[in-house]
Amino acid sequence: MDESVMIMDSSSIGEAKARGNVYSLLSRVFMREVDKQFLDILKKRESIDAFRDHGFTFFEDLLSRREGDLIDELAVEFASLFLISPGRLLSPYESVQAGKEGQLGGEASSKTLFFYKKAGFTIHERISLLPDHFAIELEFMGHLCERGDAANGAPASNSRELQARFIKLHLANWYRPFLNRVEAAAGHPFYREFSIFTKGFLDSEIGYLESAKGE
Amino acid sequence: MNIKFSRRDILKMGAVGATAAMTPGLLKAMELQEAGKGADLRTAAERTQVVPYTCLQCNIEDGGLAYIEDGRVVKLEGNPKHPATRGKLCGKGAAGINGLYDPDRILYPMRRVGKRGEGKWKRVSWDEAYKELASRMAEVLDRAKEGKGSPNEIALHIGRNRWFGFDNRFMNALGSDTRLNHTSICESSKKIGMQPTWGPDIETPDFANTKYMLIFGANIYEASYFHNPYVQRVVEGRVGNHAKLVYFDPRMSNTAGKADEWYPIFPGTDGAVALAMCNVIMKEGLHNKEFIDKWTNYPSDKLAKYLEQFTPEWAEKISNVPANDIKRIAVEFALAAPRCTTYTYRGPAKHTNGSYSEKCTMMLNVVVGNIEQKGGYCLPRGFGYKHPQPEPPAPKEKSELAHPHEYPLAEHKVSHHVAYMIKEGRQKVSVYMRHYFNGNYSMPDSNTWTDLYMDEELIPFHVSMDTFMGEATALSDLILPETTYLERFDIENMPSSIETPWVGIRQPVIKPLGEVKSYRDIVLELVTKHLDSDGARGIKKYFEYGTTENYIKFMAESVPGVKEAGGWEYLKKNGVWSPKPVDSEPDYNLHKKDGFGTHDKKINIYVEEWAKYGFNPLPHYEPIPAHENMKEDDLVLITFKWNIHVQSRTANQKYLADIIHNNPMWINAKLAEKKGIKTGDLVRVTSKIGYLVTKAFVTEGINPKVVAISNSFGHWEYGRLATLKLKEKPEWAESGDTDFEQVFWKDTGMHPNYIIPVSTDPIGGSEGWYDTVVTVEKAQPGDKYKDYKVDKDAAVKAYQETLSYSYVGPNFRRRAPGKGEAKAGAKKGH
Ligand code: SF4
Repeated sequence: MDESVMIMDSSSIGEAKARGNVYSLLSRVFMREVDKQFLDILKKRESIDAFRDHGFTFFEDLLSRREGDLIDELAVEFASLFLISPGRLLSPYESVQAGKEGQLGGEASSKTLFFYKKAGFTIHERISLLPDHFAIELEFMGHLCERGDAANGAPASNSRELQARFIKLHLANWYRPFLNRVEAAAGHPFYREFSIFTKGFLDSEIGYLESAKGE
Repeated sequence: MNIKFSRRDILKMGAVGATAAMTPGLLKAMELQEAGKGADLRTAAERTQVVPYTCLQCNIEDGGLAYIEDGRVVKLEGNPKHPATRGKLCGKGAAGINGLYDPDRILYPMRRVGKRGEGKWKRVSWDEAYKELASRMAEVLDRAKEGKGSPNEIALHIGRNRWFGFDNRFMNALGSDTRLNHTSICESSKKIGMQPTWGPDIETPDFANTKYMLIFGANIYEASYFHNPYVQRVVEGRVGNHAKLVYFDPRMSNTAGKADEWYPIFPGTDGAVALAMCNVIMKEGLHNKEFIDKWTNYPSDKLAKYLEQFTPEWAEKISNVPANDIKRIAVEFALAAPRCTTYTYRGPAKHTNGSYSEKCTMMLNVVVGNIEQKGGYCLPRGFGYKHPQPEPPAPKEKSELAHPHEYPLAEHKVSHHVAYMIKEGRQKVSVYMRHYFNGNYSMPDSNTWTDLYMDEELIPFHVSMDTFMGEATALSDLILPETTYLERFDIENMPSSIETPWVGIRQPVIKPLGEVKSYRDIVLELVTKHLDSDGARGIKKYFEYGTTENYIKFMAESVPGVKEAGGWEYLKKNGVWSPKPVDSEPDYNLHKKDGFGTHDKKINIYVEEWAKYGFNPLPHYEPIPAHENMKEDDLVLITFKWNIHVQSRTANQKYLADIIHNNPMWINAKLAEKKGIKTGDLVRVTSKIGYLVTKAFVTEGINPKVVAISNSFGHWEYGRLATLKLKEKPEWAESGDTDFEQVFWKDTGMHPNYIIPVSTDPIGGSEGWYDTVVTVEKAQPGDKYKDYKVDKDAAVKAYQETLSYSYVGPNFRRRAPGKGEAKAGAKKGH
């Protein structure tokens, strides 16, 4: 039995862990282009089932296209959305999308970094993204979820409070308008559908963390 | 579109994520530290660092300080320790932060995947990028070795050049002489007007101590060399000594506005006015006979005789400057000697008579003998450097593109001819690398460059080292993302203060964004890791100096005095070193030590080399061919820079674009009235190669025979603000970027270069930017803003016509019978 199914089936898996995994997945989607390794994960039967259940259509392409062609096509799409978008506004940074500067390296970049550090995280030297990149903000949420209930002996509510605070102070400022624009600009259903999914997921996260308050 | 989730949905999708999360090697950005370990809980003020750098928003090279908070630049300001800058940056300098943090920057190596210019790109790793470039180069070099080609097929075209000889190292090591530049669209004829006359290619007026400034076409309050340092000293001279400022410029710039007297001179006639003034000074006996006889190669009595032909009345007819004013100003200037000085920049130089004109304005100083005197016209102060050894020898074969045979005196090249020359098949290009050079935006007849860059036969492989998706980069095959000036090591040294020379540095003030690399690192890695990793090609040995920082350190410490002051560490801490402190008294009479930088150590009023090629060796006014037969309705189109913009690189910078973002055509009020043109009206501007439709700005502040369009606007690529394409797409305009939503303008201007034909100074090789003859009419029915049409054949004809005035051309011989080719003989290169 493969790992993902095992995790899903296991009753020991906590909700926080599952949420963390979704954050990891989405972080990977927005961090860099789809490569062979990621494609293999996306093409697993369980993944396809999950995508189908969510009404995604992009996986049809995953199954029917030559891998190399698909990877190339998605790479071009990724570049035109997030790397070279002169004249458009899809830069995946909070400082650009929501900061008063509308530029890279704005206050949000310091503030997210400060948040990560206070929570005990640093960004690898080799990472060429600034701290307020959409993928890094998502990844950070994933780490918080994963650390979740047991980490450092802290009560679960502490961790959830931290998650709620990070979403409120950062992701909530920009994920909707940003993802709406990605949805509008994307040519391939992959990024369009993942934008829709991410929006829905973050909406539900806000609701969840709100309702979990004071538990 | 929105979807709703149940928590069960999340568990399901979590399963996909789980595999992703648990797969080794799948990119993760973060690592967990012990809680709190990474947190720096000092206050923001305590966390602030100040790192010195050298500005490169424009080419003045002022010293700046970058304020860094938590690894990000929050503010730029002037470095008070810098002897030229003295703590001040101009508006552009302060906005440098926009260039660094512009979301439109290219941060990763990119490979074109669609057709050239189609806009389809894919990220590649540096290794892949280097491999591709190295294999293209190797193909040329291997073929050349077999005698089936030439290393000159590898071309490097540099725009904003701060390579300081590193381009020679790179290209010489490859064996290619095809180093191309942008100087012919910049100020090259100023340089060529001066160099054979006294050695250096620029002067350093002692503005702070002068009593009289006579400035020709140098908008010193806004843009010209060395704007920020010089305007400070001009103001000191004006306030401290009540120095008079007389200014010649067809357009009312801020310098004109600040001047005591402004003359909207007819373009290209500065030389005539200067010669008439020289004549008046000598006639009135106000010249410095002793200086001329001792320090020049032409006797004063002979000079006086020669100058007699240039009367103020003659100059008035040519220039529209009243003869009486010419006489009065000449006398005032001479009476203020030696505390008087001229200054010039592109105004006199950017004409087909640019080299002559520059020399004529320089003569005003020679005749009054204010050279190297307090308050006078002085030699530049600067240093030379040593480079790490060994250095490669010069290439064996000359490149015709780099040294076109028609322009033997144009030492700074004629790079705006390159597109036509490649099309003519004069030299094959197999690998074309550009660095910070936006050819099809910045060159005259810019469409010819677009055609060239689109042509995959003529330019089979086009590499861009740049920071933005500018017009040229959009037509490249491989993009190597370059650092901005705040992210790289460089050395600087400009003669921008008379008080003392200085050495400045650039250093990365923060970790460079994305995966950008400086051109020096790109070359180093390309050569040592890919092109010649085993040294077998004999190239690598010139790149075994260690790191780029080592290289710059070596150069900096080769300047006498730097090591003693604390060497490289001192420079990194202070950003600049000078042998004398800020605000020192200048030293004068430098020429008395070693003479001038000419073969006989004298000022060469008579330039032997010019005579050799049939040019007039004496101070001379040469009418501009295009202006000789102007019809009543004809006007001259000039271009200009705003105080807060450079030509190609600032339209996307928000602090600056917020202030000025478009470029309506300036037209004189009387003329506009006659033509029924009001501010904001659409006008059709027609030159001999085509027309464009732009908007009018009606003003008293321009010569009635001249119209002016700034060259800083009218981008069709580059980024959000430069193009405002975003405003055309409502679905993208619903933006979360509150700052962008505040963009209140829709007009990003109309680029004038489409209709400016090539027109070249046969001596200095400069493009005559201010020679273009046009007609201007109200737009025709059906004309839309930004329409333009260029006749390609007419553009080529303009190029051929300008060649005909080169020293080997029939029009040159017609004007100067018995001169030119017949005498000097045409030398053809590769
Ligand atoms: S003049 Fe302005 S833009 Fe140019 S170097 Fe100085 S501060 Fe920078």
